[in-house]
Amino acid sequence: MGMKVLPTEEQVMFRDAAARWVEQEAGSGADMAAQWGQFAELGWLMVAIPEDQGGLDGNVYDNAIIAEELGKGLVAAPYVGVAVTATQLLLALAPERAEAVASGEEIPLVAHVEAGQGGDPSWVETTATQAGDGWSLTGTKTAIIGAPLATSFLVSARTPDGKIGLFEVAADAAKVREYLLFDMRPAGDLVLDATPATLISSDALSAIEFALDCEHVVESAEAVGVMQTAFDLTKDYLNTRQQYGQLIGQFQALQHRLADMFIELEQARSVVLRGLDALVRNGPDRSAMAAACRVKVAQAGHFVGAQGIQLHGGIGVTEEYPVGHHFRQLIAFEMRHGGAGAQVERYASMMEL
Amino acid sequence: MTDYSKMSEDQFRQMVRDFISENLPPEMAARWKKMYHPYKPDVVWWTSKLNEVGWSVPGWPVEYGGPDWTIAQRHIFEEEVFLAGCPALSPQGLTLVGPVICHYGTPEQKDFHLPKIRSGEIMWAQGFSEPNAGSDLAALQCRAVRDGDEYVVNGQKIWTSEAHYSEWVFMLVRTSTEGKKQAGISFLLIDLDTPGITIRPIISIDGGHELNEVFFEDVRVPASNLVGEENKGWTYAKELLAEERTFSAEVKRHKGQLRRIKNIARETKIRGRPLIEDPHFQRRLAQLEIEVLAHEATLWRVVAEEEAGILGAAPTPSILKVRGTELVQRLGALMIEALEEAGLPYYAEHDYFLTEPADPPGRPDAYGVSSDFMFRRSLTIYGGSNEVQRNIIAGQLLRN
Ligand SMILES: Cc1cc2nc3c(=O)[nH]c(=O)nc-3n(C[C@H](O)[C@H](O)[C@H](O)COP(=O)(O)OP(=O)(O)OC[C@H]3O[C@@H](n4cnc5c(N)ncnc54)[C@H](O)[C@@H]3O)c2cc1C
Repeated sequence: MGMKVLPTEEQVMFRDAAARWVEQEAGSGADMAAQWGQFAELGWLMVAIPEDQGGLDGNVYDNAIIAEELGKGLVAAPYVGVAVTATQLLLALAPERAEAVASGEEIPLVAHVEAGQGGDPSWVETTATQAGDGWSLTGTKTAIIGAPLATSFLVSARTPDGKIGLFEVAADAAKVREYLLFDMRPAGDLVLDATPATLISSDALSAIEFALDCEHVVESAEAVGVMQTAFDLTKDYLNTRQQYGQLIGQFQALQHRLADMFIELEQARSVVLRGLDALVRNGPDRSAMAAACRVKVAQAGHFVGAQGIQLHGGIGVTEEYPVGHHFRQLIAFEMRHGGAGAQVERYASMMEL
Repeated sequence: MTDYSKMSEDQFRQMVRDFISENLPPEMAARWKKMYHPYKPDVVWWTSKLNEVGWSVPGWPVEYGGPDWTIAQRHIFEEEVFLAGCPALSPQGLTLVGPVICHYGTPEQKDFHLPKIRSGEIMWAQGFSEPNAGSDLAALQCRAVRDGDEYVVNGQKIWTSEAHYSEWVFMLVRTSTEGKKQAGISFLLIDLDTPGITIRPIISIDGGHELNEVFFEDVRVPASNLVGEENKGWTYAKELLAEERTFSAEVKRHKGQLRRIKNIARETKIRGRPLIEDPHFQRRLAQLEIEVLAHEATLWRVVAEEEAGILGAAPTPSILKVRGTELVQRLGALMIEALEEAGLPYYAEHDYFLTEPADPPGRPDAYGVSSDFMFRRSLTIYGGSNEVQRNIIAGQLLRN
């Protein structure tokens, strides 16, 4: 029962501000770069940064509160990738860099995931070799959300001594293969072919694991926001759409389905709190809890998103109507980091037996 | 003409396979296996090819060109053509309106329409659903008012698959507002070139265009395009939908999906090892394959009962529809997961169906997978939603 459940007054303010911003700005057609400047101004990029590094001295809870609101509006700008994953990684390995990220001046994205990793953060095939005074990297990092916005990439690579190091590659010094994910978020692969890089840390695995655990949990919070909107749209639709001379919300089959969606949504919300708690405690169960969080939210999200479409009938599968967009983003969430199946396996390998 | 009734199932299957390998161009098969939306030029060509041997209309009575296959043979045929990557025949003409015209059409309608449907020369759309008449189809309001030897049609249809490249549409229209709402509906054939018709695209969540809205403004249709009697359209429509009762089981699609998942999982290496060798993955795949086995056996039972004319009181067609469509969706999710990182990019149909962009992300075996998964959400919505099917199952069970 020791888990933090209720937000502080300050967090409520953040939530309200984020909700207002989403209502006004999301879908305004503003590009990601313009939105990014606003994130910086609102202080959202510095919530988890300590005061002596120019931040607001909060933690991942604050990130999660903002991410959930952004999820409700399907905001594509890579808030979690920068303000959580990259920021946590830099705080651990190069804290003096955090301030420039908080101000929005630098937008680093973590380039860690590779095809074949299957959700296991220690599986890295990208190699780093020493080249004169510096380093050069070879390998491909995949599906980096928000890649077109990045000013640099924080790249994991295996060094000649077999450890996983962290390097930085400027965005304009590398090949970025840009594309959309199937949920229409801009993303890209970082294609490294003896690409020059700067060393940040020669032994970075545990910092990467911590940053990825943060990503799992805060992305889960974002996904809860995505689910919330899918749920709200569906609930409203059951109260408006008529067939057979009555509101479809009067059919008991649909009432029960809506109740099941609600149950899943609330379970997902709860497990996110559990994940956040595990991050802050940073105990031996941290990674297992982060995996559990991702799994539960992914499965709940699949159900809520799919039923959201189903209960809308034909209009649910149209591009014009939003509920399908929420479904797509929830499926993308489920499929990243090896997929929810791989994350169950990860949990199994870490759970107490 | 070949006497198919003497053939064993194996002989029949082999005959179909031989035909496909002699006639289906490999590049056509390759693009259809990606599972994007139908591509009209291929569909028309393949329909005419099948028509040459009388195979484009397996469900039609012999006197109108049907090959007189058993229901089991039809299922074998469907499975073989699907798995081989043959273009999917457009069902509206061949399996929906065709049989209705065979049974209820005038001699003129038969002479004019049936040959063109059989050969693929004319493609059809189905204009039943309206914005306010979805599950409750009988609430439809698109009006047809008799004026001399014409009907004047006003109203709107929606979700009209393939209307944008079809030549004709068969419609349910309201010809009377008296009595029960089912009793005032007529079945009308309309040439889509008739003045007053506007077709607007509906883009689905996979980014594809198969669906449309169709608007009718004072569209004048010859009264000779009425099928059967005025105000009897509901009866014909119900028969049309019942005709295909076992063909929404989707077993062919499940088999294609299982095969494709296995091929993908052979290619995907997780931590250096083929995913297909991972016992966790095998277990999940096995679970779904077991579901498909039970489902296919249910289909066989229904087919055998149907052929013996003893289709019981059990609501088996609804079972086939519910379980079949839901399995397609579950298999689709596992397929994306099996692609791991390569499953995440958006492989837009317009970039990947006929061509491939320069320097694409992912892998070629991923093309179409997520698009198909997205679009297949619709399987549980159309053809009588799965909620409506469950109502039917429960209703029949509790009445007995
Ligand atoms: C891809 C696609 C292709 C299609 N192609 C065609 C076509 O070519 N021609 C054509 O005429 N139509 C077509 N349709 C339309 C299709 O038949 C309708 O979408 C379907 O009948 C459902 O109607 P609706 O979309 O209005 O949903 P609604 O009927 O509004 O249903 C909304 C929700 O309410 C539920 N519901 C409704 N009634 C009940 C009840 N009594 N009990 C419990 N739950 C209920 C439904 O299951 C659904 O979950 C197509 C649809 C799709 C998605």
